Amino acid sequence: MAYLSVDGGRIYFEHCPVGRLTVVLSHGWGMGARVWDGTVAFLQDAGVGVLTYDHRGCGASDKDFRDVSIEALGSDLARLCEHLNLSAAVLNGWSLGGAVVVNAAARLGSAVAGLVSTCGATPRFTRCADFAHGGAPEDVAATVAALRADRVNFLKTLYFQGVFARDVGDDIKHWCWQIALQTSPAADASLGALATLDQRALLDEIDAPALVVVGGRDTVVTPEIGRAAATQLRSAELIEMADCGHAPFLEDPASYNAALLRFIRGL
Amino acid sequence: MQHRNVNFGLWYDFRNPAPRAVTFEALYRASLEQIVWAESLGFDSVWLTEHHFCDDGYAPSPLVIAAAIGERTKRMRIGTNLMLLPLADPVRLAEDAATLSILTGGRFDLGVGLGYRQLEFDYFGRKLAHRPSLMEEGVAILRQAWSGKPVTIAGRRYAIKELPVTPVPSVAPRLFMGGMAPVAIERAARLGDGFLSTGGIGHDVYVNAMKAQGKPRSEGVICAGNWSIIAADPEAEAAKIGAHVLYQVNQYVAWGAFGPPGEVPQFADARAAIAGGLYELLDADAAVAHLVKMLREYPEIVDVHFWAQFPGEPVASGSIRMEYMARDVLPRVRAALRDQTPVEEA
Repeated sequence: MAYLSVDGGRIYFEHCPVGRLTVVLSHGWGMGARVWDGTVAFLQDAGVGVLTYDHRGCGASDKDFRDVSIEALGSDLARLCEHLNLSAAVLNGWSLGGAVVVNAAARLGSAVAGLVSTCGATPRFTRCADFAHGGAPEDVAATVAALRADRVNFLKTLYFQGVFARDVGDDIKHWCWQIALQTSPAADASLGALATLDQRALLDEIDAPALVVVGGRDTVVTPEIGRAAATQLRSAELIEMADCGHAPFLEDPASYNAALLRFIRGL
Repeated sequence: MQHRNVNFGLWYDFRNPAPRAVTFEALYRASLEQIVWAESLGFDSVWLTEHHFCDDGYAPSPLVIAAAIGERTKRMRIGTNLMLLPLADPVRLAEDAATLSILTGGRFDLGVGLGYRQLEFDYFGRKLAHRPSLMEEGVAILRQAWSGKPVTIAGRRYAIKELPVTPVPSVAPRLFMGGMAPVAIERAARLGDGFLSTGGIGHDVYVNAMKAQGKPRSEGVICAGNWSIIAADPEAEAAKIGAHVLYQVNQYVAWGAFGPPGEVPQFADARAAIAGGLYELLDADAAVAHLVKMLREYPEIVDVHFWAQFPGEPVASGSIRMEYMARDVLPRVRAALRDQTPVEEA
């Protein structure tokens, strides 16, 4: 257990180094490192080094950061990798974490051995004149307003009705809901930032081999967004998990883990 | 295999480390004379390499040297193993390589690789992280330029529209690609006319990558940069040139050739460098066995080249090994390849 001081606050992380590569797992909006525990156990058993951490405002990281932008979260991740001297990092981000790892990868350059987007909100979460996928930017503001009006029930609805397409059981849903409840309202602005975030220029900066995993029934980050990312990245493998929703690593962990490990072994 | 023709060649870096026993002028002059002499001994190829901003003067301008070699030799192939394509302007490189092909009657081969030294990328204004796209788009530009059609590319690093790049050579240089990482070797199999190997690393990876891409083994081409030290008395040779060998390998380690700088340890002494590095100490019998075995195992290999001399070693000292190889090693290897006679394992 350790903390890295950044920008006047502390980022909590868990680092288990093994071998040349380190898989860095960046969680989704308002979640925490714990949500990756099944993936972490699998990678550890496969002999792969793993780093997990809590975003600003989430989990065991400090809650009272003023800046919770995607750029700030990306900077935290890059500084964490530099702090730990990771020379061959495989950055894997889920949902909003997908945008965080893209931002961090552009900062880290040749220290990134691979990039994984797990239903990542990149290159855009919302549509615009020349990007046809995702919701309208104003929908994000409405979502944040609904969250702030009644966060306990909003988050319960999100995990009991929104995230999963396959039946994962109520315990998994309840567990996710409880992790989400650890998040500070200060982190709501991270979600709000996705309304206008555009990473298309950043994707052109990233030459590292990529794996893009999409859920065929994902209604949070629709599969078209991941397909667009895979097309724009220099060298990306696209994995379509047809019957999964927004969290394939929890909905079909065996298939997800196998695809992830195969990608890692090829780096 | 019956008519198999393998070129044997020499590899030059033109390094002249302190304390310099000779001027750069004298080193370049002596090396050119040695190359002419090597051609008369029966060596078939000469290979040049590129680095920048090195205290010992490591050759930064191999194409200028290639032109000088071309004018002094008649038969030898002249190649680069290798030039750093991500640092180059690929159009300018295409022009220079085309000019060399014209000047040498089609004897020039362009070998390229990614590079790895931060200092070089900083000065030339390129990012290490952009190496894959700089390489892949650079290769596309070179190919188009030599085809005689205007160059057009809309890539991540280059945007060129209908640019007529001339002169168009009658014989386009063969485009070889080097590398040690699996992903670089896979790229060589996908985009190159052949693979430049270093110290035997990656022959198997290349063969597998060609197979995975559905290409027959007969289309595979490997030019093998070989780090063997071949001499009549290998132990005495190691004692004589150990300091130069240690210097060579430890500089590559420090620059990051074999992994991130600082993560790969330096060799403590020449014995450790030879035991743990890429080098093999061989007399004629062992060298014949080593080369024939490698060439039979990998019919893709069309060229094997050896360091002419190690950094700081006098040119005359390298000439002694060359003469020994030309007299006692290469004819036996060629004969064995010709008639398929079994060769005893060393």
